[in-house]
Amino acid sequence: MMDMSNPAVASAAAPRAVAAGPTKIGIDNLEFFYGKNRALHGVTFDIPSGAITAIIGPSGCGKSTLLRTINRIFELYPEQRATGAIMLDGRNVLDRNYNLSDLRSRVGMVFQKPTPFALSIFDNIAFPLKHYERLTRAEAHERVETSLRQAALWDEVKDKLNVSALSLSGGQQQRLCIARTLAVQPEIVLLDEPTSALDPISTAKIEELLLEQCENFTFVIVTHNLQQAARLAHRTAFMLNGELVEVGDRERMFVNPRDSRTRDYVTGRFG
Amino acid sequence: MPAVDIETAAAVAGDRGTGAPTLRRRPVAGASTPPGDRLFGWLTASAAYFVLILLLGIAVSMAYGGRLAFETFGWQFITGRDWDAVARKFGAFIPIYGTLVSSAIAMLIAIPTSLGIAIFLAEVAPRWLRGPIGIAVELLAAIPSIIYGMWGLFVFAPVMAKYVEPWLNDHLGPLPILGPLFTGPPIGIGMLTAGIILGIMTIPFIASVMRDVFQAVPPTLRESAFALGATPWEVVRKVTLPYTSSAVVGATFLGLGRALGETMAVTFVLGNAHDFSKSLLMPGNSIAAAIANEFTEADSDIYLSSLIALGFVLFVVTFIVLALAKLMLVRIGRNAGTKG
Amino acid sequence: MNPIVRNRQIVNGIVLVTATAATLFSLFWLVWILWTTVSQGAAAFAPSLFTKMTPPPGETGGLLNAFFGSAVMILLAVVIGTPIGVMAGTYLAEFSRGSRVAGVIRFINDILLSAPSIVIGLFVYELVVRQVGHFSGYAGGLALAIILLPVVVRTSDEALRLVPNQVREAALALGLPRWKVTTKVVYRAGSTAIITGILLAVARISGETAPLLFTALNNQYWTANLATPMANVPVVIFQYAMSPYDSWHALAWAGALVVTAFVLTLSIVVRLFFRQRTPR
Repeated sequence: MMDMSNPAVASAAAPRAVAAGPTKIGIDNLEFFYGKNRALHGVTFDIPSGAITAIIGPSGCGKSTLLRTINRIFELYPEQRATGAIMLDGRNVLDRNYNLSDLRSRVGMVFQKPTPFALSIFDNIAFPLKHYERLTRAEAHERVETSLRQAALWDEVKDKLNVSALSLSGGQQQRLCIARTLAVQPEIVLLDEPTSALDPISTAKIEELLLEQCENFTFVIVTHNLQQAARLAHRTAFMLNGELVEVGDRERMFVNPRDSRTRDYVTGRFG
Repeated sequence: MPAVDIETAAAVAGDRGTGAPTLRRRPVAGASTPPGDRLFGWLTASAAYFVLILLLGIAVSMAYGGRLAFETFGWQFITGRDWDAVARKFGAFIPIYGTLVSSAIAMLIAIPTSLGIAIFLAEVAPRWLRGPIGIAVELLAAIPSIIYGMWGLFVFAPVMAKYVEPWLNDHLGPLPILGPLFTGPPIGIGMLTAGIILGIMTIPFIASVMRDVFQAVPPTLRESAFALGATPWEVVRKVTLPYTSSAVVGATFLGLGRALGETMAVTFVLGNAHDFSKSLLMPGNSIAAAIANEFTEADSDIYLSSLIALGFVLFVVTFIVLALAKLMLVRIGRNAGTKG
Repeated sequence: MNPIVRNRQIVNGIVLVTATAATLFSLFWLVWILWTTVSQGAAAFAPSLFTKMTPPPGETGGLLNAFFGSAVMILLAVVIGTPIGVMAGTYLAEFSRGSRVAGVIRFINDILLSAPSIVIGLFVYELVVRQVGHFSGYAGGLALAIILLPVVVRTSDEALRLVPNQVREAALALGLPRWKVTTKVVYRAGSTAIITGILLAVARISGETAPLLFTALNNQYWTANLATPMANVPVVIFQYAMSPYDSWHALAWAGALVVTAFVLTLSIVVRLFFRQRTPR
């Protein structure tokens, strides 16, 4: 983190400064509890559509927790609860009447560690797809190919689609997981430190594909890698101890942070 | 406050929202729970509850089947020494006594041997040998009990009759208190032979659990003792055994539970006698062997009921022993969880 | 050398030698029993074992009807016990997070796992044989299923709990319903361990005798009718071994060899290939 004293320089090759689109997700006064422990304190901010939003902060600051509330994946664990509102196109997804399957088809997620299913490469993508759409074999094949191309994996796997996904390398597995997520055609894709378990070359490939696809999807990426945030994000949120400290575009967050805690963090004074 | 639903209806087993900073209870089965999930949750839950019902059903049906015997004989069923199919008088003291004595002999053999095996695997055996020895010991558990029985009847009992029992007669027979246990005709069939075979059968059950709990000792504990210059035995005595004591007792109870209920291995070599004898060399009986031998011959309701009542007694005793075993083994699990 | 240290070394040596001796002691019995089974069984082994029916005393024969009956009843037990067992294991591992009921069910299941098999035979007798009025292959299969069930419950519970939560999260995050996540993704990830459990359970019930004594009973003749008493290897071995006839003894040993070889091969292969321990 010490080499981060001037990230603006590091991000010279960053994408064109897209003007953030209209608000896609509105988070309002979000609180999160692990049993009795409160992990998020009244988090409020907006995530724009068609752009990449990065959430940064030191370990344990609640950035992953925040991400895991947006698609309600935390509900796998009965002791975890969220209160407040996460508005997606005007409806609160935390409302228990919000259809989970519907929510998760609109909000995809990619995890820190690659999570290929013990199925073939083809079925990894086709199986969730078939849950939503009735596809002929040819259509399914086409969709699989499209998403594999989007995830920059097609050329590497096109001759072995029936091979087990577990035989792929870590970087390929992660791109397969991204392809699997994109295939369902979500509007939003949550990425929870998607490259932290990968080598630099795989990381570069994934960053490239995120930049390529960012106009088609709303990406929300949690990362502990400030350079990555500076390289990718149109908008960055800094969190500390379960609170949202500051949100802004790259210029503001990495060059002129308003909050001293943000400045300390991005200049590597802690974290 | 938006309520939080949960993935399935089945997962709602008891309210876990203790101390949560809201008073509202977790809603049962959110409105968005898909019907497929509800059905699947219900199916799996019923299968799981079926296990409970099964055990309950076994207990109830044994009690129900044995009610005639319990009503007729009362406590005499447990304490009575007569087991007379002709007079239709049934007291189960002899088989109960036989079950306890043969299991006691088995434990005398199995506990020290198993402890030895566990120590061997933990402290003596080179790493490459642990796997094969472990498998070999577990094979002893995989051999069907009827094989033990046949081997006992055709091979082991004759050896006992020819070499071991005459020796016992000569050397232990004259002793003042123990003597009566070891006098009697050296026929090979009897409590001692059955107990020894039971012991051999029980070794793998106890040994493999002990090995597992020994492995649950945090390496840092053992290493720090070794760093102080302790010998392997001292590490076992001062670190491993104190740390695992309740589980080691639990393991022996598990073995005891197995020994009490074992049927085929002892049926062959006990001799199905209904006369009381102090001598371990005389034929005896056990609950399981009596049931196995006589069930298809039971020609009256009271006879049949008495045999099922025997089954009930066996079930209750093994249930208690196994429950104690599990409770003691659970404790080590918790210890390992917190201390590890 | 310091005498205190030397004494400690001597005590240590004695204990470790004793421990080694205890291990050799148990291996001695294993070798003895296996050697007896193999030598006696091989002496009595003949191809007719698999082609002829169980004979009356004094005549030659085989164990074909018994092998068939055992196979049918084991199959029946697997068909009944496996789905219930895997479902129950699924509930424990997937749907009962943190609940007390799951603890109780695991506890009871572990007791059922070690419960005397003869009691299970009595139970099925009371439940089925007495109600129907006669012994049957169905009753035998049911008794074996009850012995198989807790093994499958335990192993599938453990197998599913070993599947990392990330896999569930990844599948749920795609919007799949929980039942699909479990059946298509989690089962797939835990399949090896679940199959291991089923195979070990089959090994266990293959040699079970006590629960068949008053359920399937025995049958001297070939029958494929599960509603009638059915021959099976363990009970035939028991009856033949307890008989006074040498030819029956020989058949019993041959049967014992086949059963032991089957059970041990299954246990070893499963352990070597799937690297899992027997539940008990």
